[in-house]
Amino acid sequence: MSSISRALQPYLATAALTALATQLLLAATPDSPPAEKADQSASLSPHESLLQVSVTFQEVDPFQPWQKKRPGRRAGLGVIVGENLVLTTETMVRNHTLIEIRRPRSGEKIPARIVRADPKLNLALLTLIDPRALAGLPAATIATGVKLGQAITISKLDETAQVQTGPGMIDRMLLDSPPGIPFSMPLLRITTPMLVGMSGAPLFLGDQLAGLVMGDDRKKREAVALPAFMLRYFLSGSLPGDASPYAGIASAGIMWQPLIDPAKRTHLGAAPTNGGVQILSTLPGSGAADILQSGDVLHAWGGHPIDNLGFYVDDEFGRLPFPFLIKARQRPGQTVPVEILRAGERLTVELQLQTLQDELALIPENVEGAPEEYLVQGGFILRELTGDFIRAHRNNWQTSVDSRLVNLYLTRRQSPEHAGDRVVILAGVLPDEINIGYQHLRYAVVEAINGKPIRNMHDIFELLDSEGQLYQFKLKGMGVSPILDPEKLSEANLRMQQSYAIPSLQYRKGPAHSDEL
Amino acid sequence: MTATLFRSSSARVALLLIGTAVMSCLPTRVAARTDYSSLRHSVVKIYATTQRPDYSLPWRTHPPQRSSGSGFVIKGKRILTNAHVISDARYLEVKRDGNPRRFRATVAFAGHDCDLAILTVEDERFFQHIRPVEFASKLPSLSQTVTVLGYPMGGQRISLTEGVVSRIDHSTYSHSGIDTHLALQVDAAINPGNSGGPVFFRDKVVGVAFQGITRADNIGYVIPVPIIQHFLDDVADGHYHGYPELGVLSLDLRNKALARELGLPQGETGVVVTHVDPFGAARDQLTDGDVLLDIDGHNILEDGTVLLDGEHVHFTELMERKQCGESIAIRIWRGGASVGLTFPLNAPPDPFVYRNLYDQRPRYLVVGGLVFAPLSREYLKTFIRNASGANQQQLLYISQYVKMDALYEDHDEFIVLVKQLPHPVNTYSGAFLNGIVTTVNGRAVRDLAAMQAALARTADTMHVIGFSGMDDELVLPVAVAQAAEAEILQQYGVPAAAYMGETK
Repeated sequence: MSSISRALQPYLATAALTALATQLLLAATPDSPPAEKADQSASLSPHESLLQVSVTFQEVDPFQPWQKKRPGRRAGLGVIVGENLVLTTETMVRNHTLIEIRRPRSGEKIPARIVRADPKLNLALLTLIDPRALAGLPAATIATGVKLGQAITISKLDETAQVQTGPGMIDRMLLDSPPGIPFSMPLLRITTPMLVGMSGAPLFLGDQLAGLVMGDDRKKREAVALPAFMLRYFLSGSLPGDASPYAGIASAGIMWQPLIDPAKRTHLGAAPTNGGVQILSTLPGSGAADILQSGDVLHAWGGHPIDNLGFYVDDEFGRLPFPFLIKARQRPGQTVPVEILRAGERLTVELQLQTLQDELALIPENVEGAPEEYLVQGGFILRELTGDFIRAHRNNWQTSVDSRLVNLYLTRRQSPEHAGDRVVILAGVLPDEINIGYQHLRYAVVEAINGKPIRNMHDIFELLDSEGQLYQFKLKGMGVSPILDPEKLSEANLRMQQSYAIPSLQYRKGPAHSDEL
Repeated sequence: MTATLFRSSSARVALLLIGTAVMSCLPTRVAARTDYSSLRHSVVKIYATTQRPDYSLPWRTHPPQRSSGSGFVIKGKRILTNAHVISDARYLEVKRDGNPRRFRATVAFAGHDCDLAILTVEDERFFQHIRPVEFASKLPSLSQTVTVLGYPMGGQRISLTEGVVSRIDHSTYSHSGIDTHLALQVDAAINPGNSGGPVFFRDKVVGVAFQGITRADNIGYVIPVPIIQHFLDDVADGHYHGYPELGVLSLDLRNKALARELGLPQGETGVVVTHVDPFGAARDQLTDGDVLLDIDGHNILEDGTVLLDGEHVHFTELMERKQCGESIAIRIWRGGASVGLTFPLNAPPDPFVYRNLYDQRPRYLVVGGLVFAPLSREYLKTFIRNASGANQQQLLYISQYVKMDALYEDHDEFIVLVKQLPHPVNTYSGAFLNGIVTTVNGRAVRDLAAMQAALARTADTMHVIGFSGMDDELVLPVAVAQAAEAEILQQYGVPAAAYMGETK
């Protein structure tokens, strides 16, 4: 086996055990096909691990956060990866109200629930409500010897639930974002003539699961797939014998860029030809925050030298951007030695990796479209600014959203001055007698309420609980705060709840919840 | 609504000249009892050759354009027309009705914030036998018939069109891009070439025809007499000062809870000041929280309107009648009491009002092939429709919120990297385009002149330029940039490495 980093070795052992378990299962049935043959025998082919997944979903209406939009449906694929465990994509199950798996052959639909989901890998692990529903069906084993140049088959189910397969070849490894997904991840680039057309389609190396397709480009005859070792990591803790649970994708919290400009290299003290990239900034609250500084030149990561474009040479997969090490080979909690150049001096510092936490941002992205906190007081719709809210304005958000908010989002999204700072906005005003004179104040930024500074929705709810009502709002750029008549406020709230059909005037999340893993 | 200017462009004029039969444009019917056969002699045709600077390459100009418009003779041997007919003019000629001879004309005054201008003609024979028009003493009313005289497209000789006053309202004057004033809307045909021409009610001029809406029918706009009178009064001292800005943002007090909170006694109404413009006339007089009760004796109602000439108009319209330097009397409610303030409407020049620019050369600075220029509305227009990216969005944000969010504190103007003239010395600087310069070689720079000084003064080997909102800095080797300067300027046809404006 070619050298694989230490971090993966425990998983190798576990994979072997799983393979053993699967073999036993297979041995119980009469015809056990040899590993090389792909999809010959109908009853035992690895394609029996393919299932149709159908999801009904319903997103929160960003402009009327007390209600949801119309429900929608999605259909796609899942792969059985263990006892009562089905792997599919996160985008498939986002905002679900019902997930159903269709049993092959019988066509029966069985409800499922989520064990874990991670949008940063676009993966979701499901389990069926009826634990025996998948009995007799094979679970795909995760391949361990995935290499560049290998021939693989891509499988999918057509509308009639027939398996379709097509050939492909693993061309190279990348660190990139699949189409429509804002996170970069390790991806295998596959050349294939097949029109895949759906994400979550499995790649098989022999009869082992080598990857899950995340996107394809028909014109280029290419697909990108999350490789087996990332699938295996995601399943940690769910397969028999697993020692540690899935801990998420690591992040260092560094903003960096290539350092090519010879003048800048000289200015930062870097020699003209010895590699290294420029550190621009670090994310507050991240592992890099107190260790690295703007202007540092990053020369090596975990012992691997980095060139001036940010590439290192991976033993298995060749030339890759150094964040590949962080996302594929390193884990949250791990400490990594890092070589930098600072003020002309070479230093080695230690950095602890964490997961990238959307919560730390000034303007969280909320890619999953999770319901966001809001409060309606006197017709004022109060909420935090998020990427999700901005994206709800569709393609022309840069011109239709207020320029102050767009500017904050584009320049300071990741940089709160203090941990927990958010941008609280008046997302709109529902016209009523109580807010006459203020009905044009959409997109205003709220700085203080009832004379007390507020930094986020948590502060607002605390204030509401302690003072009973919120009636005075200090808005950015305005020297006088609009006031809602405190004596008429409760009555107005009830009235508006009726007239605007608002089931609940507020939504609060529980105490600090972490990213779903 | 897009307001377009009806100065006929050279292309249109050319089309009209080629192969079109000369038609008499006098209609068969004439307005009852008004004899335009003599009034028409006061209406002149103006031929302008104009040349606009190219704000994306600030040493360049666009090609000269030929255009024509209308104007009319007023008291004092002057011709009144629109500023947009003559702005950036290099050569002006005027011609009288029925006489082919063209006379050279020059601009005496141009009011770009109200789109009016006065021309004079050196050869006084031009004014022989021409009677100056008389202005009406009041605004026309809705439905009254008005007559537009001018030289629009469609022919060579004077044209007369007629319509009714459809609306009297505030409109943005598109010549400045941001100023709004009263405008009459009429349904008489107003077309390219009519700009600057008189609009008559009976035998008196009620306004100057000046703009329309391309996608609408029967909508033309006219600058009414009060604006014209304000302009004429302003230039009486030999200079155009413009409209004074009080410089307040306010919230109306229809909300009773807010009025009570401010301690406003029963019976008093007004609006509350929420922001005072540091470059406005009220900058040392008013503060946030002051309630404006009345202005020059006009009581401000709870919705911010005042009763003026029998109509309710927004109180800011009172400013339309004031001249720079004139006093204003404001009664306010402050600290539980009524306070009377009287102060002159004087204000320093405001570098942060982003108005369309005319009759001036753009300032700029080139270093290492990188072109820096002050932020202007003209530059914003080059990308405003499809602004994308953090840098362009930042410029839009600044232009809209510079006062409210006090973004001017470290700047006297915003210096923008507007262009990169490709050369090896600047080949990695693309990411900084549209960025705003904050520091040069460690010094904060407040304006273009300060930037030029900071670049000249450096003893280091590198120029290091810091930008607003960016962690990265632009690094330019001093010696290489200097050595390359002559080559870059020559290669790109840049006449000088900098233009800093007229020395004061």
